[in-house]
Amino acid sequence: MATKTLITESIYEQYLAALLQGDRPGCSHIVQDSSAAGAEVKDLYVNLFQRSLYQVGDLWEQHRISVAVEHLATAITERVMTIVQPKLFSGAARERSIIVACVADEYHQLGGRMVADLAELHGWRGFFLGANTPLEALLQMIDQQKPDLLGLSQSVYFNLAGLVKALDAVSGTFPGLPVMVGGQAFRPRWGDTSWLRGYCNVRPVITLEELERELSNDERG
Amino acid sequence: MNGADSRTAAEIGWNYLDRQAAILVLRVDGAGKILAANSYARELTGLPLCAGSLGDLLIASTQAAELQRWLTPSAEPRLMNVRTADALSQTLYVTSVQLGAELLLFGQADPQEQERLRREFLALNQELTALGRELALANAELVRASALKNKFVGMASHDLRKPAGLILNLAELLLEDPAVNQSAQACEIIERIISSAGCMGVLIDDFLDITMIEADRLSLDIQVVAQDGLVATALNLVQVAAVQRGVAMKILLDQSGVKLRVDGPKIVQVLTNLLSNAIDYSPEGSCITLGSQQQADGIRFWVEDQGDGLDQEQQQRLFEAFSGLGGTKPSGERSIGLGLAIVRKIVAAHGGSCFVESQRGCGSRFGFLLPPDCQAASRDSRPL
Repeated sequence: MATKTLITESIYEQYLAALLQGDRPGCSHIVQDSSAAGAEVKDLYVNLFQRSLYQVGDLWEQHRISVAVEHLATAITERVMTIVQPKLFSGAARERSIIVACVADEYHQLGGRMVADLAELHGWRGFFLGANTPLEALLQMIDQQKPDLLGLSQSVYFNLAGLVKALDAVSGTFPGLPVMVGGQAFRPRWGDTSWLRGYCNVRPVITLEELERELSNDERG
Repeated sequence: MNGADSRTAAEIGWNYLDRQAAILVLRVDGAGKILAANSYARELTGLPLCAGSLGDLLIASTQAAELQRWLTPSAEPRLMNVRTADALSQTLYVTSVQLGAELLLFGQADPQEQERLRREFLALNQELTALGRELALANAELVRASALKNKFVGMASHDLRKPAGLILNLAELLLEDPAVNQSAQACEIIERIISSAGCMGVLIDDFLDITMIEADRLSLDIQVVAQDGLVATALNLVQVAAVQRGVAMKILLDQSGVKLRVDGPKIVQVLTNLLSNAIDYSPEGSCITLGSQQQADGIRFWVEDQGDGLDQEQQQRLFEAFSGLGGTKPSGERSIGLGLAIVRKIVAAHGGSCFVESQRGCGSRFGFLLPPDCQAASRDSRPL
């Protein structure tokens, strides 16, 4: 991310240690202090939340932490994200909107929530449907809200069948709707994204940094 | 020693159960006395267990009744809610085997049940945080809409104030013009214009006040002022209206010479609003009393009328803005319902509180209590 970060290595290490110990108050204090010191929401999202959760994911994958620790870290992150919510929503009217969802059987919703939140910061109305969104509910929401963009977040690569099903249905029902897919499932050592080329309106936006660039370029028009 | 383990498989298995397995293992005698407990049982309960009673594991209220049941062997797993060290209970599914005079109990949690619980808690947390996000967004939109509304009302009121004042001034000039005031009918019409423009001015001032208050721009200029002066000023401001309505006014201050540390003009506005309301709702020939009383918890002011009074339902919303919207005063004027909302905000800004005491058919008493720190030493007051 181009903007200067206020999250120093020391702050990050303290936060990660608290996160891995399941120390919710400790994590809250670090986020509160950083926010009060002027850290922007984007900075916290990318350099604290995303970075630490990627590391937690790596530790889980290497069998160095238990599933319980990983789940607790995710739940704590969800909780501390609410600390910066007052900075997130201005209440202003939005001309464009994005629906962000995790498809059926995808239970990791944090990445999607961050996408919806960052879109809000860039002047979009970010509808966030959460984890495990049934396909019917997703299609219904698109029909009702008529968003300018759809974001589908995928964290677990071996769960791609649900994403493929959703992309087929969305492309068939709303052929003009641009779709962004991203998340940990598409990080380089996991899956490739070449298969997405089969969908003319779908493009990969894997990380929050890429999303930031996309949204900033979009603002510049 | 070649390093080979000379223990039997049964010994290794028992050792594992005793020290490492996440399974509760107990040996108890026929009376329920615990002869041996494995490490998991001791850690789970936080009790030494050995030489204790099996009943110690059970939830207190069911110990006596339940103990006997657990002393009967059962190959079928039975649900036992065990007291745990963290004061929460833990469900174990317990089987038992009779070994001579002893009973061997094995208990373990249901992994499927725990997995379901974990999954549901995670989903619940996700749903709550997603709902929290929607609430935060809705709240931001409401705050913004409210600020825009305040801005609009403030601007509109500000712009209306000038023409309303102009109408009032020009009508008063017309009334003094000999070419116009010869006609009784013309005078009556002009007086109605003056009266209406006056009401409009009060309304506009109320809108401006409430807008300032709602936008958190109410600032107090605290000075030491004489209570008697505040009361006299407020009475002067409503005197004409009281005379026009044929209502008498009585003062009942429990002590004169009291000094207050308040924003004088704003407390006058509070008293004036209360008195004006009382005048509006009083029958002709009745009396209004303005009183004050020093109490341990502060100084209390009230305005009492002999009007129709209010029922409980009406009293509940009185101090909310626009609570009287659409209502009509006995004089036929429409009530907007801002006066008491302004009163409440000004009194609250002084750290005080408002009250109403009323009964249908028995008049009303509106008032407020200012906290003790609003009273000042009786020197150094400035005239209002």
